[in-house]
Parts: sequence; C-alpha cells; structure tokens
Amino acid sequence: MQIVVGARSDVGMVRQNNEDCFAVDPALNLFILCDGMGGQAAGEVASKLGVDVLLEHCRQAARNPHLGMMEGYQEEFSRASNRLASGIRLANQAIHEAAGQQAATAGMGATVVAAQITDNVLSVAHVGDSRLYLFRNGELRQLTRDHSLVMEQVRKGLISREEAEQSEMANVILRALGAEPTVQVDLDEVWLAEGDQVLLCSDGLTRMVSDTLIAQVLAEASSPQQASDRLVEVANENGGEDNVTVIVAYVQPSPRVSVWKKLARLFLGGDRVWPN
Amino acid sequence: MAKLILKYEAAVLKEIPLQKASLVIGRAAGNDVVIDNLAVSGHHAELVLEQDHYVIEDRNSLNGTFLNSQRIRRSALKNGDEILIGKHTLVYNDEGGVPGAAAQSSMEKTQEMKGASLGGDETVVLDTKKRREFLAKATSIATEGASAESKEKLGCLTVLAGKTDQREYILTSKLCVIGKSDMASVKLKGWFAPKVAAIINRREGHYDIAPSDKAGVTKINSQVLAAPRELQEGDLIQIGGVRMQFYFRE
Repeated sequence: MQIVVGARSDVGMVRQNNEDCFAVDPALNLFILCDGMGGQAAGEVASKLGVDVLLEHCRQAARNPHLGMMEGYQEEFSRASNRLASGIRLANQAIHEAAGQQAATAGMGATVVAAQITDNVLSVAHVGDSRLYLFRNGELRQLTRDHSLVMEQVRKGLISREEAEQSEMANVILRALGAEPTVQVDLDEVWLAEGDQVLLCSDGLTRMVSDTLIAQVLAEASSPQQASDRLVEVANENGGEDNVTVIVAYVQPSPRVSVWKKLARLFLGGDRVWPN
Repeated sequence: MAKLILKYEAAVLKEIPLQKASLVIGRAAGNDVVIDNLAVSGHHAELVLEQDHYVIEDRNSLNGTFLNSQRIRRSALKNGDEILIGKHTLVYNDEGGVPGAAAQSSMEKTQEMKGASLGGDETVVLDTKKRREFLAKATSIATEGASAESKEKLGCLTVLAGKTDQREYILTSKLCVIGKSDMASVKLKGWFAPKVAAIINRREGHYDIAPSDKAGVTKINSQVLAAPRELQEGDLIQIGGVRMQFYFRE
C-alpha cells in the first residue's frame, strides 16, 4: 500500500487573510489541518501554532518512541491515535498560554483535524468543525462529528441537517484549541483498503460545497492534487465566503517490483532508487 | 460551586471547593488534596475539568481508585458519586452550581472575542456557561451523558477450534485485526493463516466485521464474508481451521 497526497489552501473570495494552516508529512503519512479564529492576525497565529506543535510532537515521537504522552491516554485506541491526541492537547496548551500573554492574541483559537496512516490503520483526531471524510466505493462518509452547536442539535433530533446548514448559528463551535486550559479530543480509527480516498477540509469547503458535489469531484479527479485544486475552485465558484483548505490522500496499491529488482536490491543495498 | 467532601468512614473531615481545572489527590505534601494514609499513593488520582464536567483519573496508584465501588482508570463524575481512595471517601457534589464555574475566569477572555456576535461571520467558540444555556434552551437534557460508555456491553470472541495465541479475546479496542500480522490482536498461527483475515470495528456499542483485501478467507455462520456486517450474539466466525464465537458480556 502506498499513500499519495495532494493539498491546497486558499484565502477564498471574501476574506482578507487566510487563517487556515495545514501540514503534510509524507514520511510519517501525517496530515494536519487547523482553522484559526480571533481578530486581526490572531487566528493565523493560533492555527500556525496548532499545526507546528502537533507536527513537532509527532516527529519527535517518530524519533523517540518513548516520548511522553500528555495525560488522557485512551486504551481502546492505538498508540498512533493517542499520539495525535497527545499532540493536540499540547497544541491546546500552547495556544491557550500564548493567548493569555498579549492583548492582541487574547481569545484566539483554532479547530484541528489530524490524521495519520500506519500500515492499514487510519487514525483520526479532531476538535471543532474541521472535517475528515472517507471516500470508498463511490460513497462519501464523514468520520468526524462537528463540535458545533447546530450539529449537536441535529444529533439530538431537534433540527434537520438542512436547517443546520441554513442556520445563522452555524458558526458557533463548542470546542476549540486554546479556549480552555484543557481540551477533549475525539479519536477514531478505520481500516483502510486500496482505492480509499481520505479528505481533510476546513468548514470553508463544506459550507460552500454539498457532500454530493464533493463526492462527484473526488470520483472524477485523476490525482489527489487535481482533486484538491478542483475542490477549492468549486468552493470559490459557490461564493468562497471563508478560507478553504483541503488535503486529499489516495490509498494505492504498492508499485509492483519485479523479482529481479528485488534480488538486485537485496544484494546491492536496499535504499537505492532504480531507474525504470 | 461544585465540591468534594472528604470522609473517613462516616466522619466528614473536610469540604474542598472545586475552584481549579485540575486537582491532584495523594499522600505527598504539595497535592491539592492531601490524604495522609499509607494506603494512598504519593500522587494517587487527579480530578480534571473537561468542558463542563469533572473527570476522575487514577494516576497509576498502587491500590487503585474506586468509583462507586468499581475500580476505574478514568471516569466522568456526576453528582453524588463516591470516590474511594485507600480508606477515605471523596463525595462529589455539584449541586452548588455549574461545575465549569472554576474555569470561567479564563473563559471570560474567550467570550469577549473581539465583540464577535453569535450571528456574525466569524467562527465563535461558546464557553461552558453559554453553551449550557443554549443547550438547556434547545433541549430538555442539558448535557450529553458522558458516562454512557461505561455501561456499554463488551464483545468477546471464544476460540472453539484451531490455533490462536489466546482462547478468549475481549474486544475493548476500537479496531481489532484478526490474522497472522504483527498488528493483529487476535493472532492466528500456522503456515497458511492469512496475514489479515478480517477487521472488527467497535462503534457505539456494536461491532462490525469487515473482510480484508483478500476476500473469501473469512466465513460468518458458514457464509463467505464479502462486505462489512454487524456481528450478532452467537455468530460463528471461521477462518481456515480456526472457529470462533462472538458474544456480548456485561
């Protein structure tokens, strides 16, 4: 199995600055996306801080498996998933502390959705209303549950999904990085199969583009980068009211390696790249 | 304000108001709640404010932390819960008001987010108090049942025939891989055992089983598992010479 990734972030058609931030680490198959909030430049500071702290925590853990975890280990999830949660708690702390230090950044916060693929297991962690979707056999499934007021109401059966999308309360989220000294992180794990596509996105995409249309774009694109570009385009065509950021990952079969090449690698050293 | 009442048998020793987002309980001086008794570890347990409720977490204590006489590692607290540490009892009481009140001071900052109104364009985080008001208005139930998970039934696999590394498996993890692979938690043995035969996914109290890429190796009740399906009490799972039965236990 091999993972191919594409990503794109865009300021949109209305906003002046892009408060979204993302990172892709192909060596770790790690994808992180944060959507910042707070006046002036504070949102950008928060989302950047969130991405940087989480990325650094995961990279350190890759070098040193004994790296400590922030408290709150959940036994039912793998170490990789708990590592994401640990990094997110750390990022929360960093943003919360930074927010308290200066008047300009007071009240800043960020959402986060992060994913890592370890062998066949997709680990998902999130806080806020940035989402992760799994696209499998032509079907688009949202794996994260938005921590937003309207989605909470949908889950309780008080309003419909359509009403939620129309609601003027759609921008109210219940959890964010930096809002409180500690944060509750939602985790999920899924077994991936070849042909699966994983999509991480900020609400700038999902508020502008319906799930049906997202599925259509994913089905038609020929590469993850093309899918990412097209999704951002569609969001902007539909108004682009917010910053839009997407990360698309394809789960592909490993490239076939001939027996001779394998033998050659065995005798001549494994890491050499052989021209075809 | 929420509080803890420290008791030794029937005698009330102390009332501790919960003003902080985190409270460490233990024998060593410097803990927020010091219980001077040899049955108590230096840093025994911690009370943590999560969103709008407190959670008790055992800090790998020697003698364990018990909630309503069940040993726990971590559990959400509700009014009247009794935490047993050594021979002392801590009664959790949140009748005095919002358990999130303690974190309010830091939340106030968040709330004043540049005067962004709720109906505006910017994304806004609701603080604990506001959220409660909103949800209370919108629903009759103010907050979600955080402790629902502890009552969840656990799925188990009993091996009836064939070579595996254990005779019984309790499916506590989110993903459980069956096969010969290193990541498998139900490990199949033998030369011809598939690396990954099937994956069991735990989702809100039920279990789904899905075949691996190599279709056709796994059978449920003698039928080939071609697509994911939910496991039912008594289902027979067959992979080569290994036969297992799925059941729930309390």
